[in-house]
Amino acid sequence: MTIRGLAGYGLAAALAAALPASALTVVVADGTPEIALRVGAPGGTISLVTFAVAAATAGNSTPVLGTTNVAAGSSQGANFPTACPANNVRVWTRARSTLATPRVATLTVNGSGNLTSGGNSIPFTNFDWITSGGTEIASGAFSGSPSQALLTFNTSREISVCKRFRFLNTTVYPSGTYNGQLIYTLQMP
Amino acid sequence: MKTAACLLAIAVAAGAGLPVHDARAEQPGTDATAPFLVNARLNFRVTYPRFLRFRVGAASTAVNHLVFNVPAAGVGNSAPVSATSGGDAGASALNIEVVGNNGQVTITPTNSSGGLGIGTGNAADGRIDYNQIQTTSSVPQLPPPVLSNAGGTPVQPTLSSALVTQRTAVWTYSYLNQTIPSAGTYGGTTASRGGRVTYTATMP
Repeated sequence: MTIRGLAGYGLAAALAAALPASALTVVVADGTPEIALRVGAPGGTISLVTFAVAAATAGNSTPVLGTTNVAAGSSQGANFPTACPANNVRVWTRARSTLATPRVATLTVNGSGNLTSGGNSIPFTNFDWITSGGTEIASGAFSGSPSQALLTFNTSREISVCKRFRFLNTTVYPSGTYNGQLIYTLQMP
Repeated sequence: MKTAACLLAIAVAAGAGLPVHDARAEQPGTDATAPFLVNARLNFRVTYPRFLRFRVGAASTAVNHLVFNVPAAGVGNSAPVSATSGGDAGASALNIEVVGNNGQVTITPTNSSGGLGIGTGNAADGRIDYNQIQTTSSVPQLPPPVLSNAGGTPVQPTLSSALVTQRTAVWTYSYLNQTIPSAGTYGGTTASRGGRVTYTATMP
Protein backbone atom coordinates (compact mmCIF):
# COMPACT_ATOMS: atom_id res chain seq x y z
CA MET A 1 0.00 0.00 0.00
CA THR A 2 1.42 3.33 -0.99
CA ILE A 3 0.69 6.91 -0.04
CA ARG A 4 1.91 9.32 -2.65
CA GLY A 5 2.23 13.06 -2.97
CA LEU A 6 2.08 13.95 0.67
CA ALA A 7 4.09 17.05 1.26
CA GLY A 8 4.36 17.05 4.99
CA TYR A 9 5.77 14.43 7.32
CA GLY A 10 3.07 15.08 9.86
CA LEU A 11 0.31 14.56 7.36
CA ALA A 12 1.83 11.34 6.14
CA ALA A 13 2.05 10.04 9.65
CA ALA A 14 -1.55 10.86 10.34
CA LEU A 15 -2.76 8.92 7.32
CA ALA A 16 -0.46 6.00 7.88
CA ALA A 17 -1.82 5.49 11.33
CA ALA A 18 -5.18 4.63 9.85
CA LEU A 19 -3.78 2.09 7.41
CA PRO A 20 -2.18 -1.32 7.78
CA ALA A 21 1.29 -0.49 8.98
CA SER A 22 3.01 -3.77 8.31
CA ALA A 23 4.04 -2.70 4.80
CA LEU A 24 3.87 0.78 3.51
CA THR A 25 5.53 3.55 1.59
CA VAL A 26 5.29 6.96 3.11
CA VAL A 27 6.46 10.11 1.34
CA VAL A 28 8.32 12.28 3.79
CA ALA A 29 9.55 15.84 3.67
CA ASP A 30 12.61 16.56 1.57
CA GLY A 31 15.65 17.77 3.42
CA THR A 32 19.31 17.28 4.04
CA PRO A 33 20.33 14.01 2.39
CA GLU A 34 20.36 11.06 4.74
CA ILE A 35 19.54 7.37 4.78
CA ALA A 36 18.48 5.10 7.60
CA LEU A 37 18.00 1.35 7.95
CA ARG A 38 16.57 -0.96 10.53
CA VAL A 39 16.35 -4.78 10.28
CA GLY A 40 14.84 -6.45 13.30
CA ALA A 41 14.78 -4.99 16.76
CA PRO A 42 15.67 -1.35 17.36
CA GLY A 43 18.61 -0.74 19.63
CA GLY A 44 21.99 -2.41 19.74
CA THR A 45 21.05 -6.08 19.56
CA ILE A 46 21.18 -8.07 16.34
CA SER A 47 17.88 -9.91 16.03
CA LEU A 48 17.87 -13.69 15.86
CA VAL A 49 15.49 -15.82 13.80
CA THR A 50 15.40 -19.45 14.90
CA PHE A 51 14.21 -22.52 13.05
CA ALA A 52 13.53 -25.74 14.93
CA VAL A 53 13.41 -28.74 12.60
CA ALA A 54 11.41 -31.74 13.79
CA ALA A 55 12.85 -35.23 13.42
CA ALA A 56 9.62 -36.55 11.94
CA THR A 57 9.64 -34.03 9.10
CA ALA A 58 13.32 -33.22 8.56
CA GLY A 59 14.09 -33.01 4.87
CA ASN A 60 10.51 -33.59 3.69
CA SER A 61 10.27 -30.24 1.85
CA THR A 62 7.68 -28.83 4.22
CA PRO A 63 8.97 -25.34 5.09
CA VAL A 64 9.84 -24.66 8.72
CA LEU A 65 8.70 -21.24 9.91
CA GLY A 66 11.18 -19.07 11.71
CA THR A 67 10.44 -17.53 15.06
CA THR A 68 11.76 -14.40 16.67
CA ASN A 69 10.91 -12.08 19.50
CA VAL A 70 8.38 -9.27 19.58
CA ALA A 71 11.07 -6.60 19.41
CA ALA A 72 12.18 -7.75 15.95
CA GLY A 73 8.85 -6.67 14.52
CA SER A 74 8.05 -3.77 16.78
CA SER A 75 6.63 -0.46 15.60
CA GLN A 76 8.84 2.11 13.93
CA GLY A 77 8.28 5.77 14.57
CA ALA A 78 5.14 7.73 13.88
CA ASN A 79 4.65 6.35 10.39
CA PHE A 80 4.61 2.71 11.40
CA PRO A 81 2.92 2.59 14.78
CA THR A 82 1.62 -0.95 14.48
CA ALA A 83 3.83 -3.93 15.26
CA CYS A 84 4.40 -6.63 12.69
CA PRO A 85 2.56 -9.94 13.07
CA ALA A 86 4.16 -12.37 15.53
CA ASN A 87 7.53 -13.80 14.49
CA ASN A 88 7.96 -11.29 11.68
CA VAL A 89 11.05 -9.15 11.23
CA ARG A 90 10.61 -5.50 10.37
CA VAL A 91 12.74 -4.10 7.57
CA TRP A 92 12.49 -0.33 7.56
CA THR A 93 14.31 2.14 5.36
CA ARG A 94 14.32 5.87 4.86
CA ALA A 95 16.03 7.88 2.16
CA ARG A 96 15.81 11.63 2.06
CA SER A 97 17.21 14.27 -0.23
CA THR A 98 16.55 17.80 -1.29
CA LEU A 99 13.86 18.70 -3.78
CA ALA A 100 16.51 20.03 -6.15
CA THR A 101 18.59 16.87 -6.02
CA PRO A 102 16.40 13.81 -5.81
CA ARG A 103 18.22 10.51 -5.39
CA VAL A 104 17.58 6.81 -5.68
CA ALA A 105 18.25 4.46 -2.79
CA THR A 106 18.79 0.72 -3.09
CA LEU A 107 18.49 -2.02 -0.52
CA THR A 108 20.38 -5.27 -1.01
CA VAL A 109 21.07 -8.32 1.09
CA ASN A 110 24.14 -10.51 1.22
CA GLY A 111 22.92 -14.11 1.42
CA SER A 112 26.03 -15.66 -0.10
CA GLY A 113 27.19 -17.30 3.07
CA ASN A 114 26.19 -20.34 5.04
CA LEU A 115 24.92 -21.24 8.44
CA THR A 116 27.57 -23.43 10.00
CA SER A 117 27.76 -26.07 12.71
CA GLY A 118 31.27 -27.37 13.11
CA GLY A 119 32.30 -28.49 9.65
CA ASN A 120 28.73 -28.71 8.34
CA SER A 121 26.86 -25.94 6.61
CA ILE A 122 23.44 -24.90 5.33
CA PRO A 123 23.43 -22.26 2.58
CA PHE A 124 21.14 -19.27 2.84
CA THR A 125 19.64 -20.37 -0.46
CA ASN A 126 17.71 -22.88 1.66
CA PHE A 127 15.64 -20.03 3.11
CA ASP A 128 12.94 -17.75 1.81
CA TRP A 129 10.58 -15.16 3.24
CA ILE A 130 6.94 -14.25 3.08
CA THR A 131 6.27 -10.53 3.09
CA SER A 132 3.12 -9.60 4.90
CA GLY A 133 0.89 -6.67 4.15
CA GLY A 134 2.50 -5.25 1.05
CA THR A 135 4.70 -5.66 -1.97
CA GLU A 136 7.47 -3.12 -1.45
CA ILE A 137 9.80 -6.04 -0.88
CA ALA A 138 8.11 -8.97 -2.54
CA SER A 139 8.13 -12.42 -1.04
CA GLY A 140 11.14 -14.28 -2.33
CA ALA A 141 14.10 -16.49 -1.60
CA PHE A 142 17.77 -15.82 -1.01
CA SER A 143 19.62 -16.20 -4.28
CA GLY A 144 23.08 -16.67 -2.84
CA SER A 145 24.20 -13.37 -4.30
CA PRO A 146 26.35 -11.10 -2.13
CA SER A 147 24.22 -8.17 -3.31
CA GLN A 148 20.70 -9.46 -3.97
CA ALA A 149 18.48 -6.53 -4.91
CA LEU A 150 15.45 -6.12 -2.66
CA LEU A 151 14.22 -2.59 -3.17
CA THR A 152 14.89 0.56 -5.17
CA PHE A 153 13.06 3.77 -4.38
CA ASN A 154 13.18 7.49 -4.91
CA THR A 155 13.66 10.10 -2.24
CA SER A 156 12.17 11.18 0.01
CA ARG A 157 10.40 8.16 1.46
CA GLU A 158 10.10 5.72 4.28
CA ILE A 159 9.34 2.12 3.47
CA SER A 160 8.69 -0.69 5.89
CA VAL A 161 7.76 -4.34 5.43
CA CYS A 162 7.32 -7.29 7.75
CA LYS A 163 8.97 -10.55 6.75
CA ARG A 164 8.42 -14.09 8.01
CA PHE A 165 11.41 -16.26 7.19
CA ARG A 166 11.20 -19.95 6.35
CA PHE A 167 13.69 -22.82 6.16
CA LEU A 168 12.80 -24.71 3.00
CA ASN A 169 13.71 -28.11 4.47
CA THR A 170 14.40 -29.79 1.14
CA THR A 171 17.58 -31.54 2.17
CA VAL A 172 18.68 -33.57 5.19
CA TYR A 173 21.62 -32.16 7.13
CA PRO A 174 23.75 -33.59 9.93
CA SER A 175 22.45 -32.76 13.37
CA GLY A 176 23.68 -29.62 15.03
CA THR A 177 23.02 -26.00 15.84
CA TYR A 178 23.71 -23.95 12.75
CA ASN A 179 24.37 -20.21 12.95
CA GLY A 180 24.71 -17.65 10.20
CA GLN A 181 24.33 -13.95 9.52
CA LEU A 182 22.73 -11.87 6.78
CA ILE A 183 23.87 -8.35 6.01
CA TYR A 184 21.38 -5.85 4.60
CA THR A 185 22.84 -2.79 2.94
CA LEU A 186 21.09 0.45 2.08
CA GLN A 187 22.95 2.72 -0.29
CA MET A 188 22.36 6.08 -1.96
CA PRO A 189 24.75 8.06 -4.15
CA MET B 1 33.18 -20.46 10.01
CA LYS B 2 35.28 -19.72 6.97
CA THR B 3 32.25 -18.45 5.07
CA ALA B 4 30.99 -16.39 7.97
CA ALA B 5 34.36 -14.71 8.19
CA CYS B 6 34.06 -13.99 4.49
CA LEU B 7 30.75 -12.24 5.06
CA LEU B 8 32.33 -9.95 7.56
CA ALA B 9 35.21 -9.24 5.22
CA ILE B 10 32.82 -8.25 2.44
CA ALA B 11 31.00 -5.84 4.67
CA VAL B 12 34.17 -4.17 5.76
CA ALA B 13 35.40 -3.85 2.19
CA ALA B 14 32.15 -2.32 1.01
CA GLY B 15 32.29 0.27 3.69
CA ALA B 16 35.97 1.06 3.56
CA GLY B 17 36.50 4.75 3.89
CA LEU B 18 32.83 5.41 4.43
CA PRO B 19 30.98 6.39 7.58
CA VAL B 20 29.17 3.08 7.87
CA HIS B 21 26.67 2.40 10.60
CA ASP B 22 25.79 -1.20 11.31
CA ALA B 23 23.51 -3.07 13.64
CA ARG B 24 26.08 -3.36 16.37
CA ALA B 25 25.40 0.31 16.79
CA GLU B 26 21.98 1.68 17.59
CA GLN B 27 19.24 0.76 15.12
CA PRO B 28 18.05 2.37 12.97
CA GLY B 29 21.51 3.11 11.65
CA THR B 30 21.87 6.33 9.72
CA ASP B 31 24.34 7.91 7.33
CA ALA B 32 24.29 11.58 6.34
CA THR B 33 27.46 11.70 4.28
CA ALA B 34 27.64 10.89 0.58
CA PRO B 35 28.02 8.29 -0.74
CA PHE B 36 25.54 6.98 1.77
CA LEU B 37 25.72 3.42 3.08
CA VAL B 38 24.22 1.69 6.10
CA ASN B 39 24.47 -1.97 7.05
CA ALA B 40 22.16 -3.95 9.29
CA ARG B 41 22.63 -7.55 10.33
CA LEU B 42 20.24 -10.37 11.03
CA ASN B 43 21.19 -13.69 12.59
CA PHE B 44 19.70 -17.07 11.70
CA ARG B 45 19.88 -20.23 13.76
CA VAL B 46 18.72 -23.71 12.77
CA THR B 47 18.44 -26.41 15.38
CA TYR B 48 18.69 -29.67 13.49
CA PRO B 49 17.89 -32.93 15.30
CA ARG B 50 19.66 -36.25 15.11
CA PHE B 51 17.18 -38.72 13.71
CA LEU B 52 16.59 -41.95 11.85
CA ARG B 53 13.42 -42.67 9.87
CA PHE B 54 12.70 -46.02 8.28
CA ARG B 55 9.74 -47.21 6.30
CA VAL B 56 9.02 -50.64 4.85
CA GLY B 57 5.76 -50.79 2.94
CA ALA B 58 2.72 -48.69 3.66
CA ALA B 59 3.25 -45.40 5.47
CA SER B 60 1.16 -46.46 8.43
CA THR B 61 1.31 -48.84 11.34
CA ALA B 62 -0.10 -51.64 9.17
CA VAL B 63 2.18 -54.58 8.35
CA ASN B 64 2.08 -55.49 4.67
CA HIS B 65 1.14 -59.09 3.95
CA LEU B 66 2.49 -60.49 0.68
CA VAL B 67 0.54 -63.49 -0.61
CA PHE B 68 2.13 -65.93 -3.06
CA ASN B 69 -0.11 -68.49 -4.72
CA VAL B 70 1.72 -71.38 -6.37
CA PRO B 71 -0.26 -73.16 -9.09
CA ALA B 72 -0.28 -76.94 -8.95
CA ALA B 73 1.05 -77.21 -12.46
CA GLY B 74 4.14 -75.20 -11.57
CA VAL B 75 5.07 -76.38 -8.09
CA GLY B 76 8.81 -76.69 -7.77
CA ASN B 77 9.60 -75.82 -11.39
CA SER B 78 11.95 -72.97 -10.41
CA ALA B 79 9.82 -70.38 -12.16
CA PRO B 80 9.64 -67.48 -9.69
CA VAL B 81 6.19 -66.60 -8.39
CA SER B 82 5.19 -63.03 -7.67
CA ALA B 83 2.82 -62.10 -4.90
CA THR B 84 -0.77 -61.60 -5.96
CA SER B 85 -1.53 -59.06 -3.25
CA GLY B 86 -0.14 -57.26 -0.24
CA GLY B 87 2.33 -54.75 -1.58
CA ASP B 88 2.00 -50.99 -1.55
CA ALA B 89 4.10 -50.50 -4.69
CA GLY B 90 2.40 -53.16 -6.73
CA ALA B 91 1.13 -56.53 -5.57
CA SER B 92 4.59 -57.91 -4.94
CA ALA B 93 6.58 -54.80 -4.03
CA LEU B 94 7.06 -52.45 -1.11
CA ASN B 95 8.09 -48.84 -0.82
CA ILE B 96 11.24 -48.44 1.23
CA GLU B 97 12.57 -45.23 2.73
CA VAL B 98 15.48 -44.69 5.05
CA VAL B 99 16.52 -41.23 6.19
CA GLY B 100 19.12 -40.54 8.86
CA ASN B 101 21.81 -38.00 9.63
CA ASN B 102 24.41 -39.39 11.97
CA GLY B 103 26.45 -41.88 10.00
CA GLN B 104 26.21 -45.20 8.24
CA VAL B 105 22.81 -46.88 8.49
CA THR B 106 22.60 -50.66 8.72
CA ILE B 107 19.43 -52.63 7.93
CA THR B 108 19.21 -56.02 9.58
CA PRO B 109 16.45 -58.58 8.93
CA THR B 110 15.08 -61.03 11.46
CA ASN B 111 12.07 -63.30 11.24
CA SER B 112 9.57 -65.04 13.45
CA SER B 113 10.52 -68.57 12.45
CA GLY B 114 13.09 -69.21 15.15
CA GLY B 115 15.58 -70.15 12.47
CA LEU B 116 13.37 -72.88 10.99
CA GLY B 117 11.78 -71.24 7.97
CA ILE B 118 8.14 -70.66 7.15
CA GLY B 119 5.65 -73.27 8.35
CA THR B 120 1.95 -74.05 8.23
CA GLY B 121 1.48 -74.44 11.94
CA ASN B 122 1.68 -78.20 11.59
CA ALA B 123 5.21 -79.53 12.11
CA ALA B 124 4.52 -82.53 9.96
CA ASP B 125 4.12 -80.29 6.91
CA GLY B 126 7.72 -79.18 7.06
CA ARG B 127 9.00 -75.71 6.27
CA ILE B 128 9.82 -73.45 3.37
CA ASP B 129 13.26 -71.95 3.73
CA TYR B 130 13.64 -68.20 3.58
CA ASN B 131 16.23 -68.61 0.86
CA GLN B 132 13.21 -69.24 -1.38
CA ILE B 133 12.17 -65.59 -0.93
CA GLN B 134 14.13 -63.32 -3.22
CA THR B 135 14.20 -59.55 -2.92
CA THR B 136 15.41 -57.09 -5.54
CA SER B 137 15.74 -53.32 -5.30
CA SER B 138 14.96 -50.57 -7.78
CA VAL B 139 17.87 -48.54 -6.42
CA PRO B 140 21.37 -49.99 -6.07
CA GLN B 141 22.19 -47.56 -3.25
CA LEU B 142 19.42 -49.09 -1.14
CA PRO B 143 19.87 -52.84 -1.56
CA PRO B 144 17.64 -55.37 0.21
CA PRO B 145 19.00 -57.88 2.69
CA VAL B 146 19.21 -61.48 1.42
CA LEU B 147 16.81 -63.39 3.65
CA SER B 148 17.64 -66.67 5.38
CA ASN B 149 16.08 -68.82 8.08
CA ALA B 150 18.46 -67.21 10.56
CA GLY B 151 17.33 -63.76 9.46
CA GLY B 152 19.56 -62.62 6.68
CA THR B 153 22.54 -60.56 5.76
CA PRO B 154 22.55 -56.93 6.94
CA VAL B 155 22.94 -54.27 4.29
CA GLN B 156 24.17 -50.70 4.38
CA PRO B 157 22.54 -48.06 2.17
CA THR B 158 25.00 -45.77 0.47
CA LEU B 159 25.45 -42.48 2.27
CA SER B 160 23.97 -39.53 0.38
CA SER B 161 26.51 -37.12 1.84
CA ALA B 162 28.67 -36.94 4.93
CA LEU B 163 26.71 -38.50 7.80
CA VAL B 164 23.44 -38.30 5.84
CA THR B 165 21.40 -41.09 4.28
CA GLN B 166 18.33 -40.13 2.28
CA ARG B 167 17.26 -43.06 0.12
CA THR B 168 14.04 -44.40 -1.27
CA ALA B 169 13.52 -47.54 -3.31
CA VAL B 170 11.02 -50.23 -4.20
CA TRP B 171 11.85 -53.74 -3.06
CA THR B 172 10.20 -56.48 -5.12
CA TYR B 173 9.66 -59.93 -3.66
CA SER B 174 9.29 -63.28 -5.36
CA TYR B 175 8.99 -66.91 -4.29
CA LEU B 176 11.73 -68.82 -6.12
CA ASN B 177 9.75 -72.06 -6.25
CA GLN B 178 12.79 -74.35 -6.32
CA THR B 179 11.43 -76.98 -3.90
CA ILE B 180 8.28 -79.05 -3.51
CA PRO B 181 6.84 -78.50 -0.05
CA SER B 182 3.75 -80.15 1.38
CA ALA B 183 0.46 -78.64 0.38
CA GLY B 184 -0.73 -75.93 2.74
CA THR B 185 -0.71 -72.28 3.65
CA TYR B 186 2.70 -71.27 4.94
CA GLY B 187 3.23 -68.23 7.09
CA GLY B 188 0.53 -65.58 7.03
CA THR B 189 -0.52 -63.23 9.77
CA THR B 190 0.05 -65.80 12.50
CA ALA B 191 3.58 -64.83 13.47
CA SER B 192 4.32 -68.22 15.07
CA ARG B 193 4.23 -69.80 11.63
CA GLY B 194 7.39 -67.92 10.91
CA GLY B 195 6.20 -65.74 8.08
CA ARG B 196 6.94 -62.33 9.55
CA VAL B 197 10.15 -60.54 8.63
CA THR B 198 11.22 -57.55 10.70
CA TYR B 199 13.74 -55.11 9.27
CA THR B 200 15.63 -53.01 11.78
CA ALA B 201 17.57 -49.92 10.81
CA THR B 202 20.34 -48.73 13.10
CA MET B 203 22.64 -45.71 13.02
CA PRO B 204 25.51 -44.66 15.25
